[in-house]
Amino acid sequence: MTRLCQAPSISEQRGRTRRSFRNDRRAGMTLFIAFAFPAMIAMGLLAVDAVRAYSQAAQINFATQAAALAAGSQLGNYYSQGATAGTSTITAIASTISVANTASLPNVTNATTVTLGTWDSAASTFTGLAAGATSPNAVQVIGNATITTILAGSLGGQSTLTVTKKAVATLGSPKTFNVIVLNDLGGPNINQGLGVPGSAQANWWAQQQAADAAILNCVAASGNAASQFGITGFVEQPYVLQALTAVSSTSVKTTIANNINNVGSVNFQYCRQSKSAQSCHGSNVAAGIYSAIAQFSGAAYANTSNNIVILTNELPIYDPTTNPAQHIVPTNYSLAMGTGVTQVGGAWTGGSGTGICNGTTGTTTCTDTLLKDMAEGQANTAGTAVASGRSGITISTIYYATNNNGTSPTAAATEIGTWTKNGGLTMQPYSYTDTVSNGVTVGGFVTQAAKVCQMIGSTLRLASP
Amino acid sequence: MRAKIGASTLEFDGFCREPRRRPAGWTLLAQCRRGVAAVEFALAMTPMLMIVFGFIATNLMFYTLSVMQNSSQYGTMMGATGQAKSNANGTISVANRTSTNIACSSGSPPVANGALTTAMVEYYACTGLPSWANFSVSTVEDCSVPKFSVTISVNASSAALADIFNFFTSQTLSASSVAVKQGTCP
Repeated sequence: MTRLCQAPSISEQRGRTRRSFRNDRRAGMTLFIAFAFPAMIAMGLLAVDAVRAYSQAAQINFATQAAALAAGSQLGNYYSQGATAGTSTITAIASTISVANTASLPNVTNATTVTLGTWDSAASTFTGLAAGATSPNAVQVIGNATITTILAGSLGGQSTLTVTKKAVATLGSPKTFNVIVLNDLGGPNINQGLGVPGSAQANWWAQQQAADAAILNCVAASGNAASQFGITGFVEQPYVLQALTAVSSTSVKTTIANNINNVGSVNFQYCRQSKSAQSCHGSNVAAGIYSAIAQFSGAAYANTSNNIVILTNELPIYDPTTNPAQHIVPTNYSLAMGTGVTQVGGAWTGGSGTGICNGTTGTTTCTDTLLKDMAEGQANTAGTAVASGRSGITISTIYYATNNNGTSPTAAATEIGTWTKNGGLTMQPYSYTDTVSNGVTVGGFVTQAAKVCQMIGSTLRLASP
Repeated sequence: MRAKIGASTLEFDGFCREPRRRPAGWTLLAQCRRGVAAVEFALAMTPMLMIVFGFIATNLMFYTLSVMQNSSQYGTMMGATGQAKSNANGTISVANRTSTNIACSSGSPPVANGALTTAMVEYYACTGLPSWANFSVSTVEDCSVPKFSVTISVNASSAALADIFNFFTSQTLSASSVAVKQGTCP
């Protein structure tokens, strides 16, 4: 009801205002925009933030897995460098790879925790290395990353997201692999050089026999019938004791093991004076590596894992008492070797060619330094991919410090360490006193040789913790 | 229709045509209420479309980045494990450790350009990438660690696809992965 000439009451004025506002159709879209846009923008921005965080979390996951594989590939350092230094090396490379994979992610801080331990494939559980335990076979890496959100925090949500990823790399099933063990048959001194296996003077070779047997057992235990095992000794020249043979059955393994122990049909005898002209002193590592490369050169060894394990007690040494013509050289092996590399057992025929030192034919003398250079050169050649589709040979070294012709064991260890190639293990130095009675125990040598074989003969895989 | 403006009362015929008493030209337009919702909608849609397409573009960019990450990881693992022994320049060796900005072909999907073979790391890095942008791949083998890395790059604006307002022009999107080189490292 309208009251004329009378001011409307306050309630009437409010009612009119409400009605006019409800009925007002002007600027309807503006109101819609005013209320809807902030909500739309907020939801859109949160979606963008979520996608960005998801993308970064995926990269962090890869970084953690790559770090675990990197750490696993360096697991051998635990054995070659010792527990403390080895763990530091393993942790460092895991961190390097993890950081490298997340460096390009903005607003992400990343930290990795590396733990060595054992993986139980049956229970799918990882157990950190217990006190006193010495044989880790797996590495666990936990990546903790903090992602700073760009928008969610400013909208009252989470300003940071914590992403935790876990990965375990473990030694998996043994793979098909081929191993040639290079035994340094040069004696720690002239008396041992003349030793007969089994005698008190033959301590050095007895240990090498045991190491050869340990690696043979490792290859046989791999369960891959195609894996091959061979032994080549070297003094001034290489000497093939056991040609590469597939350890395809227990009987094959037994036959080789008997030969190693000099009770089989082929008596290796390693180094003894009865091997005619073969000297038992001098140490030409280059010749041994050269022989191994030649043995791996067949088509059957393309696209396979080929490994050399060098057992030596000293830096390369030239022995002037040896006939210079017997110096085997990498650049002209067949000439000097005469009968080639297939000689197994029987009398050593000696070199039939002209003495060659570091590529120089006709020389009558060589030097320790040149022999060392030759060893470095041959190790590099072996480590490099030699043909299309063929990977380089992995070289591991086990060095026992004895006589280094005036060189300190530390310097010798450094030099011998440079021969290691393609992820092989460098086991050094292991103190060895140059007397028979104080020689290293066979058990220590065997353990190291077996560990090297386990590392080079195992695949590395990601487990699922 | 009757409207009161100031002291005057105007008579409209409902079609915003000239009233009986003619106001000034712009005043007429301002007084007209016909189509006002359409005008407001048009004004509102401009920023809204910018925002919507901005979101689409941004999410497409992140999607592309995610795929690039997967592809770079694939290429990295192929190179690091030695399954791919070559880069686009040939067999990886001491003299050939890197390849830079090798183009993936366009196509759907742009698996590789014609020059890439299955022996090359770039072939795998190009696999699975979206077809709407032109990607390039760089590889580096660093034997001092040793490690192998693959980086995939693309223009961010083309990766965003719906970047009609050129938010990401001149920006480069890259995804990088690194893994320890296994086995031979020449």
